[in-house]
Amino acid sequence: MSSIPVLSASTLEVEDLKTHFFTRAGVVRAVDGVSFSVGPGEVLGLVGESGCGKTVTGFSILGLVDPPGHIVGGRVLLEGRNLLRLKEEELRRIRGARVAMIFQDPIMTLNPVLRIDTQMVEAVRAHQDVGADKALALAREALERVGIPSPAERLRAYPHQFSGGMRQRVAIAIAMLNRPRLIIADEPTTALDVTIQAQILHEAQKLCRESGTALIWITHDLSVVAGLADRICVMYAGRIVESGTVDEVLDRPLHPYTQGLIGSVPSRNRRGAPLAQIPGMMPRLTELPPGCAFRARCVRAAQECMQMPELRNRQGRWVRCHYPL
Amino acid sequence: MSARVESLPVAQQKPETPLRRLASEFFASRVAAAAFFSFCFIVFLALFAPWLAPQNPYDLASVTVMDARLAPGERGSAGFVMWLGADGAGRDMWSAILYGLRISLGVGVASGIIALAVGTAIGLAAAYRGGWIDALIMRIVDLQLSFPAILVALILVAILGRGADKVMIALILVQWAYYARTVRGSALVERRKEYIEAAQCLALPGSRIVFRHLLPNCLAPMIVVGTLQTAHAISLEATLSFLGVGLPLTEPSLGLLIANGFEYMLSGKYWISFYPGLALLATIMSINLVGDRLRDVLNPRLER
Amino acid sequence: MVFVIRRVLQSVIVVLVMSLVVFVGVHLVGDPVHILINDDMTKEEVERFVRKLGLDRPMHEQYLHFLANAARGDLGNSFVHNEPALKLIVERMPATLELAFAAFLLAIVVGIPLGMYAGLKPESPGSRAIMAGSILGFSLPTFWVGLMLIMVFAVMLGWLPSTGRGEFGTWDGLRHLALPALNLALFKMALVTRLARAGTREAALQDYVKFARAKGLSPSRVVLVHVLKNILVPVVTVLGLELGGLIAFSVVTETVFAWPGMGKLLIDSIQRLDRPVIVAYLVITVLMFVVINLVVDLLYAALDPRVRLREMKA
Repeated sequence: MSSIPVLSASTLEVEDLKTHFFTRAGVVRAVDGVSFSVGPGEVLGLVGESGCGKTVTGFSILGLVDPPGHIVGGRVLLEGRNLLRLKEEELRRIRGARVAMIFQDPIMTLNPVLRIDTQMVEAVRAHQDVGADKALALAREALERVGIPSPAERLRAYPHQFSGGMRQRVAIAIAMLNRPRLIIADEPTTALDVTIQAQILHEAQKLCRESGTALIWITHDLSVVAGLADRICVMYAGRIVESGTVDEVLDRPLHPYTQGLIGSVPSRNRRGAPLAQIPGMMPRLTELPPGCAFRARCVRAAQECMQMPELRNRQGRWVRCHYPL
Repeated sequence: MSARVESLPVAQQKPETPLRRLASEFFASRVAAAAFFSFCFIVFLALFAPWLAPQNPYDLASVTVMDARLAPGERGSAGFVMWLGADGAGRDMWSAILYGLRISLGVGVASGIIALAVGTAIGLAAAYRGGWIDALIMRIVDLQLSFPAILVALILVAILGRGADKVMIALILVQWAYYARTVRGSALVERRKEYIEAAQCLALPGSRIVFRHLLPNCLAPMIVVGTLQTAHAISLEATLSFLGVGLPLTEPSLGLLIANGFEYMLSGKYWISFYPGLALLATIMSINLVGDRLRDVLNPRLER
Repeated sequence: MVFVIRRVLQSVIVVLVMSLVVFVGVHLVGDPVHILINDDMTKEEVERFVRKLGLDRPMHEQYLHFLANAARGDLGNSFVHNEPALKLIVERMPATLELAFAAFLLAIVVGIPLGMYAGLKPESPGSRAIMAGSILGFSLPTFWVGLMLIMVFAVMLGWLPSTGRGEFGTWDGLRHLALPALNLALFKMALVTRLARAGTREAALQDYVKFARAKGLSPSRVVLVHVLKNILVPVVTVLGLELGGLIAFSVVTETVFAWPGMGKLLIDSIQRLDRPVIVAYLVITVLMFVVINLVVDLLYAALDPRVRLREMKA
């Protein structure tokens, strides 16, 4: 089933995950056979445009896909245990404790009418049998670790009293509270200024190295993963189209889409020249064409591309293309 | 949760007017369809009451006190079966209800329509003129709406006195504010849109802009408020009549019928109040169900 | 603090405006002399009365006179009972308040859980039944339901007394309170249920609920802490304002159940043209509403920290 070699000590292995949404307009194959793995202390960048299914992948791992979406196939092995087979109560014990998630915009993910300490203490006490003061102490330490000044006061504040960057640090602190084995970060810096973004990236990397936590960083921004990730998986229309180490993928891309993505990053273009773009748009997930989903936008497309390419091993990496670069 | 189908293959598309689409969505709910037809039936009953009722309960010659308090199903002295029984004066309940429906519906709907016209005119004026006129009108509307309708109605009735016309005026004065606020709200939204600006650039007269361009786009919330308010008006009139401060005895609405039955409750003659109440409930509920469904159908933001 | 003072000032202005409206209403629509005098006085008595009340004075003097008297608590004497109108109303206030609060509590205690359930499981049969019931609840004419309640529970089953008010705080008092409170509560219960459902549905779709689940919180905590606190704010606001509506609408329930409250007195007074009592009722009720609105606004600010921030910036 799995077409990507399994790292024997990996924290998370996703095998052929399929999550489909059953709407009146048709079946949306948001995640259609996605496989990857992450090891302890490793940072995996999951890269793709909006709508390619990367956020749904993150939710699927935690079992947070709401109807009309359902996980219809595959395995998600957390340190060997298949999360998709667990009952809801067992899954709840894993969420926030062994696997934590950071969402995109904490102004919406932190409850506006509850104080920060309430929201942090409850995260601790849901998984550890400790008293309220011990939980509060843990919360304070966590805020210190992410670099929030005067944490004791800040605990008593409400989310709207923080700036964007601070809120995201709080979200990271909450994610680290129960020392998870894996953190899934879904576009956590998209809503922030570039300078804050750099700081957050640095914090996250440092924390993961120190505690051996695996990190999946979901983003559409290649420049973010360039400095942060160890490995990259590129997603397109619900599938992984290329994966490898960050140097390999960014310096020597194999898939035309990856090349197009890299080429369209502004810093990579010559000053004054028109920005390189990938022509066309990603097809809607209800209207996927037969064969390779990137076919319509690919200059290298040929007759064979009417067949869906499988993931192939090329030079130690994986690519889903009939005519890789 | 469910997305609308974006495009049909061309061969299947019928020319769909907005009305047809509205109707098909509305009737997709069985409950709403049932409510709509129930309401049509009730209107039919009310309109044709003189022909459908076995007796005219307000023609003193055809009513005799010998029939007083007959239980449902017994035969009266005129020879026909009183299926719903007779009241304290010997009137056939079925006939009384039919005639009462006429009055309850008539007053409720009439006051609703007039209040709609008045409230809409004022709301549109406020939205279109803006400035201090808008502020003044809205202050008045807010003040009135911060008090419960029943209280406003009682105040008006206390000031204006008794009589059918006074009750109508009171009902209209209670309702206009809801219409004014709704219309003004949606008119304000529409006013900012570009087609109004375009019409103004063409130097169309203000009244034309308001009535030909602004108003049609405010129709949706008006329809919803209209139905729900009409149900409310019918209920309010019934309440006032029950309390004895509503329509006079010469125009007996369902509320009065129920009040008449009050004294017989304790001796177990339930039918004198029960059946008129059922009729009132059926009327109000069918209108509310229709209005509820209309609101869901006309509100584009609501996704089921 | 500034916020509180501002709201209080606004309320005072509203009270003054309403007093003006009542005053003008009474004077413009009818001949105030006829409105305020007893119908069977002789001509000389009428003239003496007019001079005594200052009804021959210019309007603004009359208004100030009215305000001064009102501030002292003098709103005239009832024609029917020959006692100060204000005293009559105030005597009956506790009964009305007891009924209104009981109905209020009932509406919240039943309506919010039902609405939350319907909001959390919108497609379930229970939820549909609840929503159908809520439409029934606000379509039912209150006075008719009252009659039916008496029919079933007092006449046919004999479980509960049909009319009157028992001793406050006793079991007998509760027995007398049960039916009227239920009757009055029904309409509001339906509204609260719908409101709670709408709020819960909206809250359940919010990101913070998903995030709470991602933290691994128990479902009961997610609902009872995260969702409930968020819907409390809009629900409490509406409810608070509806309390005034309950007090006003108790007129109907009091009539049906012969409950000795202000409302019944009002209806009797309207029928007997006892105008001083009517005016006194209006004054008291308006005051109550304004106070309730004020309390609700302050409560809203206390419950939702974002409101306090907004007001401070304004």
